[in-house]
Amino acid sequence: MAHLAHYREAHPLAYVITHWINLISIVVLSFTGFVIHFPFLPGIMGICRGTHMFFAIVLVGNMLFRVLSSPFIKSAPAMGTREQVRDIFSFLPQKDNRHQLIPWIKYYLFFKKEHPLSGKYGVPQKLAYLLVPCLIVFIAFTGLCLWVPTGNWFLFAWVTDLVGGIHTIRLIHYLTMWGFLIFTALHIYLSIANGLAPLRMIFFWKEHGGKVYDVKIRNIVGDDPLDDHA
Amino acid sequence: MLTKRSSSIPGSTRSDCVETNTIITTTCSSGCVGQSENVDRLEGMLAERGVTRRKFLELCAAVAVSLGLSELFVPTIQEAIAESIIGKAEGRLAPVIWLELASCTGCTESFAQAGNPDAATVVLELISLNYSETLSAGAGFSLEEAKEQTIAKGGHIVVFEGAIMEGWDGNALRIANEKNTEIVKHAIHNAKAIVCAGSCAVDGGWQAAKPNPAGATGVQRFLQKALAAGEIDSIPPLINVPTCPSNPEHLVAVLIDVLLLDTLPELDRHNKPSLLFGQFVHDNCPRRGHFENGEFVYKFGSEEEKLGYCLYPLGCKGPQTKNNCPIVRWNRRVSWCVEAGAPCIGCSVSNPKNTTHNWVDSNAPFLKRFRTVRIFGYTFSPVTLAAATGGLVLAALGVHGIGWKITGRFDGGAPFETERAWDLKNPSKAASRTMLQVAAKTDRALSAQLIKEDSLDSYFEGVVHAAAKTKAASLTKVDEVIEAAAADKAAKAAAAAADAAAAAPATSAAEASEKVEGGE
Ligand code: HEM
Repeated sequence: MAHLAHYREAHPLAYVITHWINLISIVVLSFTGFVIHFPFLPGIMGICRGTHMFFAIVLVGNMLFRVLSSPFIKSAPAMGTREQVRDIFSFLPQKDNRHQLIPWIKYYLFFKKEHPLSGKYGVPQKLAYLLVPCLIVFIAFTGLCLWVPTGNWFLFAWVTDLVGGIHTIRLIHYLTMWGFLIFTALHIYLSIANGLAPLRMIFFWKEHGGKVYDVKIRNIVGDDPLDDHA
Repeated sequence: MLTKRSSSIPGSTRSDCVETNTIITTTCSSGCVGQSENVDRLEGMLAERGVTRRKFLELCAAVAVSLGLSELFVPTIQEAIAESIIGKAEGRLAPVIWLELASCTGCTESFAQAGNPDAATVVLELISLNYSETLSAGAGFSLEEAKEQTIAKGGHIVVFEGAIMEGWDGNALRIANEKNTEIVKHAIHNAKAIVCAGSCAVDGGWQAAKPNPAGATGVQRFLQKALAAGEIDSIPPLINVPTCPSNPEHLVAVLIDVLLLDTLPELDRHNKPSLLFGQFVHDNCPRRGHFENGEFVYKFGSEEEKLGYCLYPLGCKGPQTKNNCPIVRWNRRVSWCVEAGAPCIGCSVSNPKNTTHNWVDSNAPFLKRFRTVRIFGYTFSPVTLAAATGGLVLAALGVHGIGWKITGRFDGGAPFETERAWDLKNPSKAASRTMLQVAAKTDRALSAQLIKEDSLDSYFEGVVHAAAKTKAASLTKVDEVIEAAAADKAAKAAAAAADAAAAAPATSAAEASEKVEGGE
């Protein structure tokens, strides 16, 4: 049993909410996407198409807020601390993670016994999270190539021609969905693999005790059982 | 000279007609509209070939619709056709040469409809087809000579049917003992316009489908390459009229536009007339209501098929295909694919600019929702591929999870490392401050730097130092290290002082202070 304490400072309320919105949008978009791909539930085709575009806009807006607010909203740069920096620093290279990519890979592949020290997100995790906005931009772009009101705009039409037509764009949009699904599978697995306690934080904003990390020393410095904390 | 539709609408053409032909106002058989001598003469010619006046008027109306004109223009079109055909008799009409390249002759067949001639066929035949392998009565040298004369004179219109074959240096297709590539470059010389009839002429069609050993390609791309290579000096206005085969209604509309009304239809970015290829088949489909209701056909021969439901699950490409089939329809406006119960196969998606996927490659298999993808020469269904990859990832995670469980990592992972592996090897460049402090024991520059950082109390931008908030954070570890370092330092300093006292004075102290400054 060795995990870091989880404080609310790691996930400010705004980002707990954006996480919920991401979750709901991606679930709804994938489900409606599957129905559009093949109407296995025929009666709801029309509803699914409308809902798909609605949540597409929600997902993109949410992503824009998440990215653009990160230089302004503060969050802890590591687990187990209440110190906060501007959130964007948790997505840029951090000293806490320096030279830790290979140890992380070794750890996941059972070649290393000890849990690597890291910032709030470990190296592979940070790379995966940085990929998400890219995936959203990409799937939104291909989606707008398909959407009749925007499909004829120069940029979308140009890219549609480039890849070989609307049919191919649909194929790419569909395959990108699988990118989301695979990301989500890994994401869920890894968050469970590190104990269920962190999930209470990101979903219900509930803290729990554990080891304390000092962001100045960049190492674990003690324990916080958090008994006296709500 | 061809003009764009916007600058030369039929109104002006009409006045041309008035100038060149005296319109004699007579009362027509229905007793309402005055019509010219030319129209009367044409109607006589058509009647001889079994086409009634009513059918001719229907054609003119269809042309007006295809050209996006109101029915008010029917007399103008009637006049223009009549004038041109009569004009042809008097040698005034731009001649057409119809070149068949790698084709199945389906496009010719599609509007020749020899058994039962209709107005469109007859008008097209009458126009001035100076050369057509299939339709021309003549053959052999005399016909080739007629073609040569037409080209030499210039101002003609070239209709291409079929793909160009560039394979084996153009020898993949030879006609009349000449390479097809040379024939094409020659035929367009001084032409007034080029019409690519049918998808093969647009993007290479069936012949260009993978693996395409004969190097089939569309006319536009071929000519653009030839132009870039300096093999031709210019490309005449080029109109792509895809579909497989080409729709006679489309062809008549375009030919009448170019040939008779002397205008170039408004073209989209693929050089297709936007009026004909501007909207999705899906947008105007008579089964669209069933799509919206969620009423689909999943199997041929099913109850749903009898009810005329939407063919989307059977791979209908209507939502991705731009064409006005549901409006113009086929076989003299009798019906068309989807109306007849066959899913759209997307035969008009041919993109003259795309070099990798022609319409066949991007739509086959026709009865599946998605086309296949090719990886290293193997063909896959993308859906199977995606699901298999997803399944593989899940399986890998399952196996990994067993390992994770066995190593007891599930609850919070393994115990943390005491220091980062890299830091242990490179303490003086470590991320961990503990390691740095250890290293500083033997590195004066580093220790000076650490002291400076401490005094500034900012380890990186934007930090809000709130150590007080960190409950129960024990800092003993650091204190220990610092104490040890201090003791070590003191011992070293004492030793150094002893050394210095023994050896020559002062120099080492000066050096040391320089080093500290340099380190900053
Ligand atoms: C974020 C912006 C997005 C936009 C603008 C967008 C837009 C669209 C549009 C316009 C369609 C075609 C619908 C139709 O033909 O009626 C579509 C289909 C689809 N979308 Fe999205 N979408 C987006 C995100 C997503 C996401 C995040 C997923 C899944 C994770 C997804 C999965 C799908 C699937 C599977 C289809 C069906 C493709 C097919 O098989 O034909 N989309 N989307």
